[in-house]
Amino acid sequence: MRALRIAVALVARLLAGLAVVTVASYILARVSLGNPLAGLGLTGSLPEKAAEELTRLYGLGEPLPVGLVRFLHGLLTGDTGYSLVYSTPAYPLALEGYAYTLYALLLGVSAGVALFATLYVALGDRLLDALRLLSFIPGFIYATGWLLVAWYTGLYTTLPGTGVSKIVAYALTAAPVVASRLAHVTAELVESEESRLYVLRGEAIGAAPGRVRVGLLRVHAAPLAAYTLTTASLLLEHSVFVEPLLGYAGAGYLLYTAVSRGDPVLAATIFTLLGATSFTLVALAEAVEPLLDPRLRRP
Amino acid sequence: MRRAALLLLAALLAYTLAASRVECVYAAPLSPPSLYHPLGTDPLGADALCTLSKGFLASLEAGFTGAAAALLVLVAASTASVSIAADRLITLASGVLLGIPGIALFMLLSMLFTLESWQAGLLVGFFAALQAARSVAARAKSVARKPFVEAAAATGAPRTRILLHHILPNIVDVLASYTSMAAAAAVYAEAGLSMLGLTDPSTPSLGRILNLLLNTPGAILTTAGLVQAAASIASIVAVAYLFHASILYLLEAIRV
Repeated sequence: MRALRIAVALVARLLAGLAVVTVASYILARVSLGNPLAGLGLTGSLPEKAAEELTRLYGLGEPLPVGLVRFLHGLLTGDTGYSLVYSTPAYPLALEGYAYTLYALLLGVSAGVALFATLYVALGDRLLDALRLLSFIPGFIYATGWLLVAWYTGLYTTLPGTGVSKIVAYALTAAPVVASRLAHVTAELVESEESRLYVLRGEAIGAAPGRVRVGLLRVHAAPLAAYTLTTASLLLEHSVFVEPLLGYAGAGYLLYTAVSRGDPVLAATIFTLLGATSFTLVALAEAVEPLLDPRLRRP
Repeated sequence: MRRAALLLLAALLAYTLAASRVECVYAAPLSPPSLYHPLGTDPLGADALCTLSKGFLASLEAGFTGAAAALLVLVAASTASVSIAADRLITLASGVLLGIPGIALFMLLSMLFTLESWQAGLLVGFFAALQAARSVAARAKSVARKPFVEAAAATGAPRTRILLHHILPNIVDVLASYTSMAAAAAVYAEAGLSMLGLTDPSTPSLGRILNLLLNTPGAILTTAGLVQAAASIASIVAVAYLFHASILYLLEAIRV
């Protein structure tokens, strides 16, 4: 019953959030990027009639409310219009980029969790102190480092693409962010009274330190899982910094090119996708903790 | 450690304020480091140490405004403990705005307005604090249920007094923690947006130094380019860390 109530609240919140993010993304993209074709007819680089025809074709001249309704309908039917920069339907393009981003981030988050768990079990609290110092460093700082490595070693090309070497570089950019943030939150969790008692009991029965730390991770699995989800949401948000640096043609890269080269339809579509995922991850993080944590579970 | 960070931050602020008034010396573009130009010259020929110093100021501005915006939002969130209307408003605002991808939003906003460093910092601080608002409100409400606060309310103490004298002093650790995180996030976001060329191009910034190096063909492969890129990255991380450590120190000192 409690799970059902949580699920209903989650869906209601998701729908409200999605409505806000969808409307906001379209209005912001249209208002901030305007109609990039409007100026072309005036400068003579494009016949005025052709500019008008293109404006009509790309739906950039219609009033904001009409365009918004068309965009909302397009999101449901899978046709939000054409991308001005890439001259292809924006929705499949955005979905493709988004899938590439999720794929790389999934690898990165998994690698980060594995890295943290392995190092923590092997090295203990010394690692937490060292790793938590890095917890505020965002992914694009590591990505800049990878970019320098790419230029100096030729390990991978900096041209846009989604090759294996780029996916690995992206995952290696995300992994330290996840590992250090998990170290930060674990350092706080192990200071709790519950954790101290757990360690004392483990020491009293002669359990190996590594086994005690495995037990501690299991005790705090719920908050760690919730924190991993919010970190994944943060990484997704930072994809707009990381992907242009790595030349990784995911959602962040597409959004950057859409904004910098003036493509309102593509920008609004990707913004909506990123916002929807972000809402889902944050809401899931809030739902996961009470469902998994036995202290918060009700009969 | 934190006191040292505060002193360093103050010294950095004084230095960059002084450096911002000095005109940078120009020489051949991408000259290697030398006695006269310790970090060499940038792709435009300006002394890199000079542009780096000016870039510090932009990062400091972003950090300060980010911290100020975050502190204001968090203190406002703590009023949830004394006002039901404020509590509902915070729940609603954070619930709706929590999932909005902030960086993508700033990118779109940067097309609408030419964002200066302090404006980018202000926006990031506001959004970062909004994410933490519910935690702060929850903590403030838990303090409000403690006997000493209920006793103060029973004696007829006004809500403002309860908030200022009983609740805020007892949540200062949470305020410090989230404010420091928001300040660090503001420093990083300002650098990231500048690196992508999405902030005011006339304002020097640590991110803009990287943008110039990454967008000038071959620049990063020179000794000067590599040294400047490394110095810029190290500076961004250092400024963010200095903010984080000093705010924690300052607010803990106030608490004592």
